[in-house]
Amino acid sequence: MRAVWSFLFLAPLLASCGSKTEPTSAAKPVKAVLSTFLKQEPIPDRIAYARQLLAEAGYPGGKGLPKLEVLYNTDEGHKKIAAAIQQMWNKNLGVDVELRNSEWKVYLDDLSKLRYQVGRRGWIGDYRDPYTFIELMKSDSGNNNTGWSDPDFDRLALESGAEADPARRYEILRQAEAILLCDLPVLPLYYYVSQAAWTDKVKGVYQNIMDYHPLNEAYVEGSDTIVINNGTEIQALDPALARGVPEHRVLNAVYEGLTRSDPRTYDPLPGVAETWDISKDGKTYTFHLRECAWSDGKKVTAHDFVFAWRRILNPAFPSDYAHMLHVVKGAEPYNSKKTSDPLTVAVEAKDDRTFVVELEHPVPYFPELVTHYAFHPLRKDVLEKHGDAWTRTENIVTNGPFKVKEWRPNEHVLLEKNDGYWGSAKTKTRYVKFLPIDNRLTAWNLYLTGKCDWVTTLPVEKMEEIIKRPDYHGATYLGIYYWSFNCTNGPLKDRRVRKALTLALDRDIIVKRIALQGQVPAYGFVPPMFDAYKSPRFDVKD
Amino acid sequence: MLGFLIRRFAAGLATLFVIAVLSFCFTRLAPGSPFSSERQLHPEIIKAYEEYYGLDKPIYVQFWRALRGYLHLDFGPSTMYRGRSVNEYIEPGFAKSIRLGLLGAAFAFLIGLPLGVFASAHQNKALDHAAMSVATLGICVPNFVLGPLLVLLFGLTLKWLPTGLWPEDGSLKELSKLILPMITLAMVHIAYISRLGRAGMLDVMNKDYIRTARAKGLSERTVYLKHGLKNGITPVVSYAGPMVALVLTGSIVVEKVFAIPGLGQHFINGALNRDANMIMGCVLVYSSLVIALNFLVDVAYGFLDPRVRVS
Repeated sequence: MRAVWSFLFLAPLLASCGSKTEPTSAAKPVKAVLSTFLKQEPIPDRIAYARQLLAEAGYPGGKGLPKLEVLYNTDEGHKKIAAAIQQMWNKNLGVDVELRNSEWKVYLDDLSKLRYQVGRRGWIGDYRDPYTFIELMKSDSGNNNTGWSDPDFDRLALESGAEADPARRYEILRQAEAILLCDLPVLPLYYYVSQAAWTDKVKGVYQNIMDYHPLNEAYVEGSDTIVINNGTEIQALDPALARGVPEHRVLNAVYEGLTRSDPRTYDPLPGVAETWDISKDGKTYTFHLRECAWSDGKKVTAHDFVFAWRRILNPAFPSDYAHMLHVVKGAEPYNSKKTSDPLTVAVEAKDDRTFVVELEHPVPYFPELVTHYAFHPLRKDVLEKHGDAWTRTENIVTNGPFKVKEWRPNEHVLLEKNDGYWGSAKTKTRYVKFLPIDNRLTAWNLYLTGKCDWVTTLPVEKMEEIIKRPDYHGATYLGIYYWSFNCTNGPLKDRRVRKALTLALDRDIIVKRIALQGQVPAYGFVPPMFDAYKSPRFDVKD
Repeated sequence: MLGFLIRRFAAGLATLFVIAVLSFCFTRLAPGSPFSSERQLHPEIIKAYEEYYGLDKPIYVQFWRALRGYLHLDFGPSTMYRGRSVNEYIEPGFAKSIRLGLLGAAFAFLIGLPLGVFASAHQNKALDHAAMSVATLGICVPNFVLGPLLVLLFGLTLKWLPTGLWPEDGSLKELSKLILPMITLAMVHIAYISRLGRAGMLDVMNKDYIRTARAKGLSERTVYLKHGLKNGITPVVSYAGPMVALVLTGSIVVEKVFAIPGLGQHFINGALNRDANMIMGCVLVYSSLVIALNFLVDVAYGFLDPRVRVS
């Protein structure tokens, strides 16, 4: 507990917050953070306070502070933001800044090996819960990339998992976020907006904060095909091997999990599971499956889920999204080779139409989580029969509203309506064609000439013009654009320096004049998109 | 002659081998991993991947394995497209790049040659200057500028032609998708061919045998097309070999601008994603093509000019 107290009141005396070792109990530090940090009003003059902090850290007017290097991956948009940061830090704090850009893979390498000082980052939530952002900054998170760790933060993150009461759980997460914002290994800039354009003939598509649009009811007026530019060639049709948003679009159209997303609200709707019961402790889910079929006519059974979930968790089978299943009891030990027995994973087919899952701890967003393709069912017999070739068009068997009709590498993926799908009465389009065009300007030109009904990525250089169009669809998006500090060496070890740098940026100017898409300035880390969750702010006095 | 061919063939194979070794080393030396992404993977998972792709073995073992694959035209599994082989991407991509390339080459000849001959016939007149200005412009404007300009003019403003994608079938409407990429690809070669053609014709038209032909009272048209053309275009013919190679391999930018699913796209994406097998596949296909074309040109020269065989 002294730890948290210390960086609230004695912070100027400490070089870093990462050095706390004393064991702490739950209640008190939390109260401390709340009474001093959480309850304060924002500082009226952030820049003056930033100067003061920098002076306290021993760099009055930026004097004595070595040149800072700002790293970003090569991209026009990031470059503009980096230049703004450079200018604002120089003007407001007298800090010298050098920009460095790297090609994508080199940049990722530099970030993960902490070969940078200030680096460009961004994070999109996996599910609608603050935890998807808190989890990111845990000390054992592979995506932390700051060298920062805080035992209280880790402990709160862990505790939030055990808490069954939603309100208390949010409170714990809020306290964890307060610790993060007090220490600032990250520099929040703005919350993302999703961007897309579709013609006025496209119907049944809505914006939501996950920027995810189920195609079940989507169609183009006067056409049997909806053409969507997916932005890149999909990497795999195997739900266990896929990663990324373009794969998500295709996979969720051809498969269906226990639940599916409401196109308007993204709330989980019954999918293969018609209903589900949750045990009192919130840890056991019993899904009652509907009578529905695979594209070859065979029944979808609970065994298909058991097979698929154990398969993705198999450590011999490298999968990017296996960690999403770690909430299932026994999943993590099996996935990380602590045990070799797949039967220890607590998933069970009670009978053909009853699927029971036991969780490690209560997961309030579990029904939403299982819409993800990592949780989709698979057909054991098909995989065993065709081996590696099972996702070929002629072999693949799926259970979603569409089936794969044709996949021409880098040309298109063509889906056709699955007439055997239980909800096919509502499917309005015959075909869905995904184009893989990564050149955004080329895609935009095709859209303008009517070759494509819906573009999911837009050219940065045309943004100013595009956002004024009636067919532009931007919406708040569950993601944060931030920059991170390497907290392991140099002046950035000092949290006052980090806070001064974080405060000295004018986010309104960045959003209105540079980012240009109606992004929301960020003074916290968890996007303000959860009703009962009130994000703390970093722009308060220590 | 046979000895010459064998020597040339062996040299080609040796070159290919050196290219394979060097490229293989470079793909392994490049910073960044095929498995890194904005969401970092667990080290155990990366290890599993490396085992799966054999990347945990010493580099000479990896190379030996890869080489055995190359001999069977098997480039191995792709790290970018999981569970698929590089061949599945390279084969359809190459087929499209070749078709577009040949179309571009044919178009370059069809336009460039008459333009050059025409200009030479009107030497130093306004028409000559006009034709040569166009040619100079063609050389100066790179295809990543020309492509978008053509799209802007013919696609977006005039709405005459499609702005990209590969034809879905053989109908004229679908095939018209290839017009703009073809022009973009051919432009610089039209320029070279017309200049070479013009220079060649001018050179030949001052020769004695042309004067003889004219003295015989032949019409100017016959002199030009029957006597002049045959020798006048030799420089163009010798440009043809390297040009075809250039057109076939030079479509990377054009493919990007017009969203053509050719080999170039796989090359770029392979490099950006550190997909070593994909890069190697593209490098080997491209370099085999260039080496094969050069071999053919050498053979042709060998037949035409005995001096080449000796040297």
